Amino acid sequence: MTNCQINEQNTDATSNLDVEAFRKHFPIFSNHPDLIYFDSASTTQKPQIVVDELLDYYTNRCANAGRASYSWSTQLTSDIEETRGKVAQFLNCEVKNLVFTGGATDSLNMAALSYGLSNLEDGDEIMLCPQDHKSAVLPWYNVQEMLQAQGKNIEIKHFSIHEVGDYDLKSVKALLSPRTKVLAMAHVHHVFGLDMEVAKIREIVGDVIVISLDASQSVGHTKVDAQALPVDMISFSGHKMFAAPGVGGLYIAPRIADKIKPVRLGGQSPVAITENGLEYSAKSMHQLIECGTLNIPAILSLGKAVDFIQLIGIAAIENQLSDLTVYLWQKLMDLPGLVFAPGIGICGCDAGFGIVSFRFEQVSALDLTFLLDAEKIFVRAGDHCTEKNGEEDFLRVSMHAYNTRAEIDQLVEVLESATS
Amino acid sequence: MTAAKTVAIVGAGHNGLTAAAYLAKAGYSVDVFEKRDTLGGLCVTEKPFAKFGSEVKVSTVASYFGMLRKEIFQELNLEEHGLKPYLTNPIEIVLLDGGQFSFTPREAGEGRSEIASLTDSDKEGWQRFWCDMQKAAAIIYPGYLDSSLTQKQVEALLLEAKLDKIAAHIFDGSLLDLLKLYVASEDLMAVAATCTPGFVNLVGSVFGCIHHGTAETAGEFGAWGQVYGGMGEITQALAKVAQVSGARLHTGCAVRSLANEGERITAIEFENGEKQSFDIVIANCDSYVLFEKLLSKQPATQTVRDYLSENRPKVSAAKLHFLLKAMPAFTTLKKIDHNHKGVIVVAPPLNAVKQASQTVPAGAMPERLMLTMAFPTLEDPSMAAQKADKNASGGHVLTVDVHYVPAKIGENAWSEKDDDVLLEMTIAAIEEQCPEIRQLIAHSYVVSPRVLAEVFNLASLSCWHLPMTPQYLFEKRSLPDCAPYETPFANLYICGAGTYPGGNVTAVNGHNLAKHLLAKQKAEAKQEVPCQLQA
Repeated sequence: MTNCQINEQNTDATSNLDVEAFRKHFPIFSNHPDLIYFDSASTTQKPQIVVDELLDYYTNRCANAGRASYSWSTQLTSDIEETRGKVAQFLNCEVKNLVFTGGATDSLNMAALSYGLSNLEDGDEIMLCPQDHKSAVLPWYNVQEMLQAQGKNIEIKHFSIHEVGDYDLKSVKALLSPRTKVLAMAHVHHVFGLDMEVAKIREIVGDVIVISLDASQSVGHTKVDAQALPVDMISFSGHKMFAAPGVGGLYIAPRIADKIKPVRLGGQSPVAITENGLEYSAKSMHQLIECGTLNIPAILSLGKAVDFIQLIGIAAIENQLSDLTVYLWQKLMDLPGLVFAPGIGICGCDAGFGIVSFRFEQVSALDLTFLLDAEKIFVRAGDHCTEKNGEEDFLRVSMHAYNTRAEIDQLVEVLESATS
Repeated sequence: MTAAKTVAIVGAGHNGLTAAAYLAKAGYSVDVFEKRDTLGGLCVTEKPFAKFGSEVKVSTVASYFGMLRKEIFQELNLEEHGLKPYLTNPIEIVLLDGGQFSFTPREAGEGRSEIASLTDSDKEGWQRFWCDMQKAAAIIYPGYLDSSLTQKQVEALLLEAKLDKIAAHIFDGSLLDLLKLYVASEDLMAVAATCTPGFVNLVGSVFGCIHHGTAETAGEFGAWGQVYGGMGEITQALAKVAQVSGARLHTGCAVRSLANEGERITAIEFENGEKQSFDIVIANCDSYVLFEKLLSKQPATQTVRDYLSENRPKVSAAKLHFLLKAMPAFTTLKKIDHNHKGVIVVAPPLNAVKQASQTVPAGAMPERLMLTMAFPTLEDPSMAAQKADKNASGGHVLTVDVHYVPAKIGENAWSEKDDDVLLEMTIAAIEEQCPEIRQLIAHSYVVSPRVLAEVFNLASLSCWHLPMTPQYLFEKRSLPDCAPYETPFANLYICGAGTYPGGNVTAVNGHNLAKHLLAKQKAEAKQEVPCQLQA
């Protein structure tokens, strides 16, 4: 059965968002009053405090962090650590388990390489879903190839998407073997928009298997609690949760922390060169994995984005997103020739996370994006970074809490006239 | 649909944020620009000892909670946004020369004192005095939230309540003159001298004392307390309400000047050279910054500048924070088994206060300091260092208000050297009551008039922006020829401590201005309707 229930503890009837007040924080909307932005699953718009933070870094305090002893540098170092504390608190994890990366793709690659290369043995198996985002899929193929060069053969098994849009749990169960070591999955699917039932997957695969979770479409959309989620690694992007591009996070659970081996080393890496090779002395996952100059302004902007989300309240954001998703689905239902992709359109859930995908029998999705673009309505069509399986491209409307019902009405109006 | 009116607020003090919250809630598009990297103006929690490796927090300037209006507290849901005031117990102990003291615990009737000069009639008169002052505060209290109360009306209200003595002195006499009608002990007068922001023997001190009586903490009228997490929590709560309502708060964003065309402010020019236009501009900074800096090139505002320069506050105040190696013991407090909580006041003899009232405005440091002290870290563990402190094993902070210091030393602005003089004088004054204090101080942070000007951008050098004397109270607390909160520019408003009803963390000024603007908009909208119909 599908599960696209929003977190129960968040469904507080009083957590309503004042959308007009919320939109005022995003300068893009006052600069472009006619803009209808429906591509937030790609990247969100940025609130003023994030913009201010970036500008402040470049214009008032640009220096490197963690290197020098002069005041600007030490201040930036402490600001980065303060941000780490903030993000860790936001994810309900310990600071030492949180790594800053270049984005979700970087996180997912780090997760695969730094766990996979040093822990997978000849004959081990990885389970993943080819219809997930390529960033969550390809790194494991990369690990497979690299290990193959060492004479270790790793098998990658594909579980599938159920027709309603979440994982086919039967296929997960069927593929499970004693050699299964890793399972990669999404928290909320980037095209189908459903909660992919991580708890049920964990129940099926048992406690031992390492689960790498792609939380790109859930962090900042719904409460993501690293301690409550039964997974070992969580990857997410800053720019999909109001921060600047170029920063993301990787949570690594304490139980696999001592199995992690970094794949990149640099000036700040806690490594000694000894006669027996490299000796590590990291006290935290970020000491071990982060190296080189971090994307300082983007990290600082992530701190501001977390402040912003907490200020507004994740429950209010989630309620608004859910309301919009259901409203959009109900408006689309009546359009002739419309074919829903898996997701809310098929399952008919009473909640959602802002993503609805569909196509029309009579007009291609790509043509529709051009028509919509002319009306300054931005939506995305294409393969959405998933493996093509011969199906037609979908149009994906992905919203965030700054979108409104009126914008949906306008979208539906344009779609109606374009397809009739 | 018309676009929301755009409002710029210059200065994110608590009044600016209050105005931002109310206006954003009412649908205005609000941007707040703060020069510092920290929101809050004088109402901030900071970590001044971080450079020494200590994470202890202090309420840098404003440090006692009490006067924030409960109406605003409730309307803006500040409690829900994390603001938690609390009452200290005891309330205070006032230390006089020669080991004399007056101790006031929270429990009524449990107070005790050791003051040699006290007679039974003094004790009774003292009770009556405070009873009358508290009644006066309760009479004035409701009037603060509308800005139309005049001095004449205040006197009439006091007379109606049969508070004739206060009515006769509130705008025309001193607290000392008034006290003489209740008590004879000069020591009690010295105690009372610590309860007014002005000098006890000068005009204005009666109102100052009543003004401070309009406090309310945890539902108790007249009571002062503190805030968990420091006074910055008031700022944070107000900022949250403003932001949730759509206001954008910009820190580290200094305004260089305001441009105008005739009677309208047309643009704000920022230090980085950018310009931005707004329908309405509100200055929460003090009027000296506004007219002498941001509008300095305006010949049209020369009248205002003359008015301000004639009335520049001559008396300032200072605050010192001491990071302590261990908790000190005050001799008298130890003797009576006092827990060192609440407020500890050092009251100089009455003659010293009278002398200071002449010499301090003329630019001399007072010979005897009047001090109000507290150990916020003792009351609120969240203020104390959260991790092992390298330099101060105790990690406690003693916060000391020095009531009156000259705004200028002679003819000169305060220098760092003057800060050092004040520091030494303050330590010496505390030593009188706590001989071990000097050796327990790990680090000091002096918030002198110099720091108020340089760090907090307080050009008036006074947290009141303008004196709190009858010349500037009620109907007279406005710019010349301007209505309350208004300026010579049609779309420029002010809401700092120099506006009605005055200073302290009341949030009233910001609230009243916002209500004033909303009422004005409503009136304009009404006027516009017939025109539209005709068209």
